[in-house]
Amino acid sequence: MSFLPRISLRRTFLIARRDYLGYVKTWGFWLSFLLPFIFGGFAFIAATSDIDLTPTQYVTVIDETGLHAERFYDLYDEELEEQAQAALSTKAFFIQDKNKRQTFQRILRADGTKAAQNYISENIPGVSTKYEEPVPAFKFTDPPADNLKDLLPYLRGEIQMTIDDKPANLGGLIIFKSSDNPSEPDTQYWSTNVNKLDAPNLTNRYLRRLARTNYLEPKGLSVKEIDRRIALAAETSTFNPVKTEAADQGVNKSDTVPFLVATVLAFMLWLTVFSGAYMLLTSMLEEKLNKLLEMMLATTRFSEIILGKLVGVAALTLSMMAPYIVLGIGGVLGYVFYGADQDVVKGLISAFNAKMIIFLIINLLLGYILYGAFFIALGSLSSSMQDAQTLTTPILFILMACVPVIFLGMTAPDSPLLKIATFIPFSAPFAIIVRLPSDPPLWELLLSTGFLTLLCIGTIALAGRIFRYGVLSGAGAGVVIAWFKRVILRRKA
Amino acid sequence: MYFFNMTPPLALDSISKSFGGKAAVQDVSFTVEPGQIVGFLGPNGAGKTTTLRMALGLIKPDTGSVKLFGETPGENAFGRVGFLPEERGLYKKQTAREAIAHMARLNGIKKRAAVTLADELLDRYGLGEAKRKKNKDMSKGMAQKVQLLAAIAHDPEFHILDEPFSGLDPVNQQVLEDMVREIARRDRTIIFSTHVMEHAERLCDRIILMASGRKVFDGTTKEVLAHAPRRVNLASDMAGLKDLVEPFASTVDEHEDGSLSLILKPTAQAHDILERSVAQGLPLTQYEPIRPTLHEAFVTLVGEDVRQDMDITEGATT
Repeated sequence: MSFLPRISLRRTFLIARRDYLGYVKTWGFWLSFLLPFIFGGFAFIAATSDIDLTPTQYVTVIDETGLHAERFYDLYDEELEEQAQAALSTKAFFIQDKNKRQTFQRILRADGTKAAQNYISENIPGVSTKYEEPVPAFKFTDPPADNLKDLLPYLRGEIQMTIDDKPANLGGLIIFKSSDNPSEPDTQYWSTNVNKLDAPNLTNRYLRRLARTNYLEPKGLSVKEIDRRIALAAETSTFNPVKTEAADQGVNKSDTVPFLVATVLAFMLWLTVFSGAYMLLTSMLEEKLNKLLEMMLATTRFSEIILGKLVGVAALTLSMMAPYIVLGIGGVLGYVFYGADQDVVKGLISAFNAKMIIFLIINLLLGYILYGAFFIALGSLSSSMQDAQTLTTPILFILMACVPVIFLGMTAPDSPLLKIATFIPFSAPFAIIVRLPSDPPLWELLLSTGFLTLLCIGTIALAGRIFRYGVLSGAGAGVVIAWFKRVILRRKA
Repeated sequence: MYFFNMTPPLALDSISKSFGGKAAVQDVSFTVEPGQIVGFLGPNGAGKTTTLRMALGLIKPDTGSVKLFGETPGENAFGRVGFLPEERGLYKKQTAREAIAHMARLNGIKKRAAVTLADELLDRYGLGEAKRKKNKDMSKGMAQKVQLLAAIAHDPEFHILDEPFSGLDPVNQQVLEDMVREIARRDRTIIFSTHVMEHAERLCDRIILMASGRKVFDGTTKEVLAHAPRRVNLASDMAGLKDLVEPFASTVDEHEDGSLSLILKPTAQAHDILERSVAQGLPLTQYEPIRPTLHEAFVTLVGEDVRQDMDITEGATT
């Protein structure tokens, strides 16, 4: 007597094919499949066209004190420059030489975008100095009137201004009013749009800076100089005592990228298991509602139907995720071959090592089979979506509880919770993947995989019995309870 | 007549099955011989579907044994049995051609041959226009015919049809009856369960009757009809008819117009009444022996207690 059920590959293939084509022929599949391309297309159109989805807000300032307007405009320009620096800082990604990259970043922080662009054009000829200019959240305009009463019709939209020969509404008014203490002006913000807070937030930042200035400058200290020195401050170097590749054991992106990759892979694994298992549930439910299973069982084994469904939906899930997988692999390979930051390249190469690929495949298979078998069994006991939702809620909770485990791997790979999760088969597929970059003991990985394999075998055996019972019986939670009493507890009704 | 071999397609030996302690089938034995058309009859809950499921190996009997083509049901019977279950359906988004071809392929037929076969069957049974029609767009009758074609497309040796007539209008019932006859002409073996006695009476060589999980009759149609009460309707313009018939009748019902309906005693014959009336000079204005029906035979066999629950309907669709 063989331990494994006998399977006809031909019949299994036919069932898998029917399930696969049954879904592939639907609009929903193609919509999901094309979704990344559709979003990519929209993003491209939005990036390349002149469509302005958020019209510019024009704000004007009345400074009754005569002390603040100019300094307020300076802060606005400084913040725009900071945004430009952030945009230009992405150029660091393309500077291969580590020293030049650090110099570029330091010049950018300390001396601004112009100096950093000059540095690139003089020292790094292959890298373009062009960058996407940041779009300001609002723009200043001269006040069309000099007092609040006359400006109110503009704010209410009753009168429009003309800016660049086009009609425009006045979106906001900032008033610096005189107070007893000239260094603490009474500041007001007027606007009909109370949800857009960029201008009042800038005003508050200005007032906070003013408070610092008023405190420090009488003591002979320059706020600007303090800010410049903070920008130029040295940064902590990170070292990893177990690192053996680098002589100084210094940590760089090659050390952090594998953790990021493992987190992304574990999350993709979770997504695949979740969507695959859920599709199996709906496929099983469809089968039940179509009432074809009993007819098929005269010519097909139970095990062939279960395996056929698992294979068919696995192929379907992979097809649906194919655009993401192809884009992901293409992106990784593209960066490995053409990427500038060699630390990232090293990190990517070390992230996709043989151990990761082997355990990813094993855990993808086992995770999918484990959850898939449960969902097939529960789907066979359901006769409606309500039944299915009721029956699968506990397993969905378990699956959802695995998400925090995945992200724990990034920040706390040595967390006891993560270690425990490695030995709980329901969370093991995800915990193993996120732990791999921290190089856990091999025995832990093998033991965890062993537990998972055993539970998979048990689940398939149990699912087979539930499936057989569910197909030939009624549906709903009552049926599960009756089955449990009869088969597990061996009780008579 | 040609048979693939003389091994009985189905042999049940004292099979019993309980669910949750409640007996669904008790000690049922019968053998279906090659080429027979067997009517498997009984009221709701009689155990017909459970018996057929055990016959196919979908569920295992608690006791007793099942032999399908001489072996335990399983791989050896795949492709040799065509099964139409009581609860049936089709993939809604498949076309009729795809549905039939899919089942044919599961039964071992190659892809191209399966599609050709599906087209031939659909044409033969007047469903040619439904080839490319999605199952969800078909009428119930059409869908049911497609289901039957899907079950039998691979031309199995043994057909197990569970309530094939249920849900069909009289016209489609007749079409299905013709299909069953056509299958039988090819010397295939058929067992079908039904509530509709007329179909069984017209189609079957043999009747097996189930009641309360037990087999209560197994024999030819003629034999089962012998269990039906023999009724005679009589009338006379003269008095004394009731006294004349009472020695021959187990029950006598007198109608308002004076005519009588009686059920003959097991030992009496209808012509005994005719002879007695001539001998006594009592002329009859009506003498009408009623042809016994399967319905009556079954009611007699199943018994009054079960009759309360059963919905066997003479000549009616369910």
